[in-house]
Amino acid sequence: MNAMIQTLAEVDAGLHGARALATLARDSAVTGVTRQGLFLDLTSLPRGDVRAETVQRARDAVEPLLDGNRARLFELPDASLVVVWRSLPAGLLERVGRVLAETPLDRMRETATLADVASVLHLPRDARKLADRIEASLLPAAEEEEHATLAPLHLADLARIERAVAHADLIGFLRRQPIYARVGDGFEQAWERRALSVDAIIGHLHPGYDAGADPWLFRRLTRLLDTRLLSLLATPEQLRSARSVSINVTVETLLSPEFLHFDAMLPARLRGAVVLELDALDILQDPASFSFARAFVRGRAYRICLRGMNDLLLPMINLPALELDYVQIRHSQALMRAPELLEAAQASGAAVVLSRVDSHAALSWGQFRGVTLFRGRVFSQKRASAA
Amino acid sequence: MGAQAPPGLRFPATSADKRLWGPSVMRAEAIVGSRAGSDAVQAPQDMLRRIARGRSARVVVILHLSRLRAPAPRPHHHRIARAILNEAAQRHGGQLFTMANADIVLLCEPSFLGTSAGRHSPAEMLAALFRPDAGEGDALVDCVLLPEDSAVVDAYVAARLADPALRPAVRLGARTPLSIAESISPGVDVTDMISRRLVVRIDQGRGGLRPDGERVGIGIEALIRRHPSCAAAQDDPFLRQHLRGFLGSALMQSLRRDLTARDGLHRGPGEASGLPWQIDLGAAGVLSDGFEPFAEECLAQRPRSQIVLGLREFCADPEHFLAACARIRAARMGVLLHVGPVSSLPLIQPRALAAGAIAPDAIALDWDNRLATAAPSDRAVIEAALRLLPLDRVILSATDSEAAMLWGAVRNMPRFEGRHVDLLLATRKLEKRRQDDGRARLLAQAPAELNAAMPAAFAHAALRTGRAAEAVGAAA
Repeated sequence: MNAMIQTLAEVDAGLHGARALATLARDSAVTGVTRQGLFLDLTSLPRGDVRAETVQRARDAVEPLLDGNRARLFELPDASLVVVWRSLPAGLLERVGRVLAETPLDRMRETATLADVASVLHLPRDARKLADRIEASLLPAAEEEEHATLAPLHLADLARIERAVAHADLIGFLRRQPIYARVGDGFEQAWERRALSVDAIIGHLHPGYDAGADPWLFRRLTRLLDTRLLSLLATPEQLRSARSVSINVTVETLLSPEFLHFDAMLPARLRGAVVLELDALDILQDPASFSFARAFVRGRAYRICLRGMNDLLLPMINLPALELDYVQIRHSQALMRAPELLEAAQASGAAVVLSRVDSHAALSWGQFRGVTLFRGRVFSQKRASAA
Repeated sequence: MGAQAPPGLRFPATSADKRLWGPSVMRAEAIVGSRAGSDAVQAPQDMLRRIARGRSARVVVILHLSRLRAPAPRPHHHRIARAILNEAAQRHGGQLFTMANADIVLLCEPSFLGTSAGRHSPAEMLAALFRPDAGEGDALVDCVLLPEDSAVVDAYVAARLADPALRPAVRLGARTPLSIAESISPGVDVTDMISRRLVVRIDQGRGGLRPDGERVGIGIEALIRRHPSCAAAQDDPFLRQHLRGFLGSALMQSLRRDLTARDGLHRGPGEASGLPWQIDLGAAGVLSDGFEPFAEECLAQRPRSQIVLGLREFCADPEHFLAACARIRAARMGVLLHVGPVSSLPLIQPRALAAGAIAPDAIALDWDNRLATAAPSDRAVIEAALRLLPLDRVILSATDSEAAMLWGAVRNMPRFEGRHVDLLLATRKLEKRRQDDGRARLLAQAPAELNAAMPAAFAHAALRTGRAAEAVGAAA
């Protein structure tokens, strides 16, 4: 919901920009007043946070070039940027060109720069062209089509992605999701889940492909991302800002050199404040290694959470035998119809974290059933309405 | 302290209450035993012996990873043990040695033993960590005080020098990266990559083994031989699962050819022909377009076959898995649920597994070497879980030893599959051939009139041959 509110806000700003730019173009065409503009077409970038980050970088790049009220920046709904000057000072275009050429298109395409997506406009000569472009920016169809034609990843694609991911700076793909605890009459953040967004990474490195189409290739990729996340979180700047966090791991990751490095870097204040989230598949794959890893991480004061449980998986897994601290269960209509599953999980000795709590009804149901830890969009809505 | 040592941790008697050591400073350093040559391997042993004969107060902690039961010590065992001991080495001015037999030795200051109250020492932690993988009897961690117990270190070093052969070096390498040198078409001919293994049933009435089914699937070793770019699948279960689904259509296509050619590819005359298949197709294969026509053809030409689906697939995507189950049943085939190692049973709910949403027609459990030597408490938990399973539907898979087969037979498991089963069947075949050869020789040597007069005698011999073969199975 948070992301959607953000998107709506961006579109709204874009509509405002589109209207203003269209008015300016029309006025120029009617009156013959000349204007020069710079069009930064950012539509070729993958959608989502990567594009948002790049738009911000582009904004930052052109900001110093806006010369008081002699220039104006317009943002279009498709994230493209247009800067229009009343009169172009001598040498400005060259200056702009230099700045754009020095600004990478985004963090992971180091060879491409903003200059590659820039074009110069002269009004009123290019008024028609600009009007067409504004109109195109208002059409939402492109995104729908993009989603509809996602192709499954193949081994060769995955190999390419693995190589890119191994050395890329992934900080821009780090996502945070709060987990809230019911405290008294309100909610407080219990910890923050940190994860790398697979969709954003695939959308960036290999646009048009669906990472989740094959569950096994997806898991191979997420296992790699888990280790990359550990390396990322083990950096001093991340550790400095970290409070209680949870991270996705596999049993294999817990026994990897990357985890040992993370563990060695973990400051004393975070001991006991890190929750390790495992899934049932991973545990059943190698129960002996799970037992070994569990004993090891417990000895190092980590807490263990079984993630991704639902009404179908819960009856199959012997939760008490796993000796967990938390079990994360997805809220669903089916779960509401089988509350005994939730009760059994609560009786296992592990604290239940109810996830996908996207509505007030789901939150109320969880509270009524005695759940005290929640994750979901309903909290983003609360924050948005509070703001 | 020696008297209260936790299981697996041992202190020599004279080392028990000596805590009066002065501080000393040693450099923390790891020396890894090399597989390259005996000189390098002997270096830590020589150093240990030299220090043992000195007069300074030291503690020698020996972690006997070589005493772990196979498949341990695995690479992560080594990695974690080294991390824990390395930390202790840094805290207590120590030095680490990795011996050629996989043991790790920490030589450090006596302060190592003086851990704060309520906190486990690294030695106790290691003993607890490795207990499930350790055999009964010998301690896994020895803490030796120097100079008092230098004889213990001397004896240990002498034993290492006398080791008959070096164990292979522990592989600490990373996972094999994916290669894109070669891409596989989903329609590739996989005929020579198909693995086939007979499933046998214990014939209670006659006391022998009789073939009951044939497990067919893509053999990962054969696949890698043909497509070296798939080498990463060797040690990656996710990749193996992917390839299983990816090549499902090709497997069905190849099996259809097998159905058409009635003489089969790997069967001897009359052998296994007409046995139901247990096809390792996975949910992805079942949900592919080719499944229905394949199932139809299969049903027309073979007894009711079963499709193998893994419990891991269920955990990965339950909805997808149940859709595959429904499709299998709609095609009038059976669902064989491959659960994984027997040791995973305590982690699941056997009753729900057998009767819940999946309700499989058969359940395959993999034999696990740990069962033979598991602690009594662990064994009891597994036995309790087993009692909740409908054993008449269980197939003990990966039956690779006589111990495995006996373990299953004692628990009334009726069906088996694995290398030991293959061995028994091969023995039976050889025995039969030997007896057939003997008959042929007799026939060649006997006068014609005797041959004409003795058909009943040879029929009797044939009958005896059959019984002998059964006897081989029964003896196993």
